[in-house]
Amino acid sequence: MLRHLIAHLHQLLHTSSTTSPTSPSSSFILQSSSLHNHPRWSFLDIDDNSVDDCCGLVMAAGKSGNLRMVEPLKHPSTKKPRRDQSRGKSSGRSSMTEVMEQQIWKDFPEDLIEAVIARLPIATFFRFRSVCWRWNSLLNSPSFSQHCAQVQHANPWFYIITQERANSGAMYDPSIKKWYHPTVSALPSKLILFPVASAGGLVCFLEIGQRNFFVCNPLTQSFKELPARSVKVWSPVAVGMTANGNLTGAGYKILWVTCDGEYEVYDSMRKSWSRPGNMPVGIKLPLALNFKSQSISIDSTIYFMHSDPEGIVSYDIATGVWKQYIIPAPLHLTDHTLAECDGRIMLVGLLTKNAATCVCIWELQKMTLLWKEVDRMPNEWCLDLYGKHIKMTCLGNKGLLMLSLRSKHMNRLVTYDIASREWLKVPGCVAPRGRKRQSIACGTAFHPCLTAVA
Amino acid sequence: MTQLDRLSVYHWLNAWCIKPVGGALVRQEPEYILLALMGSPLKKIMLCSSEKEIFSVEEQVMVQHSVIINNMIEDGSYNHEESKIPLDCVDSKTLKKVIDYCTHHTHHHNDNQEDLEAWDAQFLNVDSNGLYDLLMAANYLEIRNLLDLIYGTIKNMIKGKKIDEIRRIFNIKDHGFTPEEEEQNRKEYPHFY
Repeated sequence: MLRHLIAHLHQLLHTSSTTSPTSPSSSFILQSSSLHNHPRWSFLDIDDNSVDDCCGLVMAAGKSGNLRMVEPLKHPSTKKPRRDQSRGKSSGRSSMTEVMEQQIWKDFPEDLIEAVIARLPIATFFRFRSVCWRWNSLLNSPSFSQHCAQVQHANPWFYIITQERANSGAMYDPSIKKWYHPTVSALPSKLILFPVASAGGLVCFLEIGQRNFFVCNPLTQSFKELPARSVKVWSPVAVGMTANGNLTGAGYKILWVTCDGEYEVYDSMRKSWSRPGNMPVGIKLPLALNFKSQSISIDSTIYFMHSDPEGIVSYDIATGVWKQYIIPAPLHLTDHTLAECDGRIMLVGLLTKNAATCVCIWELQKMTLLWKEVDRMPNEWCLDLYGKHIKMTCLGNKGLLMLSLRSKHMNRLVTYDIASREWLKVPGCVAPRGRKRQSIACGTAFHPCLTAVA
Repeated sequence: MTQLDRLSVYHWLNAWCIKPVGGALVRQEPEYILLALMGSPLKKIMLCSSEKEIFSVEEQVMVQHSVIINNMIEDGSYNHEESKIPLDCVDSKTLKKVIDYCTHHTHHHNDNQEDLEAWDAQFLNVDSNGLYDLLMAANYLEIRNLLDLIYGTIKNMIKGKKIDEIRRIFNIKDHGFTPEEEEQNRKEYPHFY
């Protein structure tokens, strides 16, 4: 039957009008005009003794007599390398088929193994902890810490709190579009904690009564309760966080500030709060801080948004200097939040005009101190928002934004990559053993770092 | 221009690293132009493999990629006229590949990301032995981006494997885990399993 097929092929080839094969008689290249658009070619060896090789080859006649070549099982040399899902830093080697010989890998130096392990997907790392005691203790190893610091994670993860289960959180990994629901939450479960800021792989939580701060690595769930603030402040606070450097163990600083201009800085190396001074006289108090917008930090400066007048205040933790920038907000804007990407200050918000709503992105022009619109949500998605009263919450504002768009009957999650300008839908957050999509109350983005310790 | 003139112009341009490509003059790295203006032609260095084979390669190429070679040249321990850099732990086949990598990335670093990644994928299409040798060479010469690339490849090779398989591959004999302890680990972070 196969020989029939091959003979048929021969015929087709001879009757086609394209160039005749110039290769040696034992093999020929299929060049039927109907295959011009097909990305894959294959050398068909039609020697008698190689008919068995072609057993894996199946040909299906498509519409209007076009021949569609289905990929044969062998002949790997002419296949195009398959693009890896992780967008190709690898050579396309699949871990399923690759047989790794002990002979080659048994003397793999420890130091280099750590470098490879540091690059594993987070879930795989936790799985591989059971390989041996050495791999199990890597989280506490300074050399492993250094390797982790060198790994550039393309995307941040997101830690969110849902309205349905306010005392435990969920994490989202955008590169594989997967939600994780830690069932054992190390944080004290009686308290309701809101993630308010993050830096260096750690997330800062503020208790609902705004009294106590907690710092946690959401991956390893190691956490620390910060000492009480030196001043009893009852007004709402805006919080910012910076990391002291790239290495874990370099420490972090947390800043809280109120509308009356009171502020304090926590230094993780000194393990104490301090009051570096007062806000400069030039900044008119009280400040109408925008508590819905999360702060952003670029290098050692933290930026907060305020209204009345519209603008941004910034505090440089290294120099202790406050600055204020008056920046008029775009018109018809609601639910706006600051965001940052590679040192650029961005604004994301809902633009509503005549019942038409759209999510827009602006970038701050530093020379003119004006917001310039740089992108908006695709029209097809905006149509879904038409005429509805939408509330938008920003759940992460570092490079990759996660936005929750909610109305009475709609609960949608999208991510926006500021650098690549890509809008993507996010699968709903569903509790384990549940079926309903949960409503997200708040969240923050964090850079996944296995060895960050609170 | 006569044929002879055109040839000499080509050689002159080549020496100053400005390559004529498709009728246009394509600039190379600014450092090359600067080198050319400073009056020194393209410097080459000699690398000697473990099999005593000598490879001549542009100094700029290796200095850009290998921290070890960069240090050797900066601190003056390498003499251009006389010495070769002996690399006793790198064999000829691997050294040639390493030089290929560095040369391509120096000359093509303005290419777009997708093309570079496709070239890298093709470059690493070698057998396990070759990959291991490349890793050792890149580690010895401290070539950061090649190391990252190979780490990424090995990571992809192991990430889907079962734990027993990992122990077999890396010859981990006394792993020290009882089944109860393994279960304990799993209970600590069940959401990652």
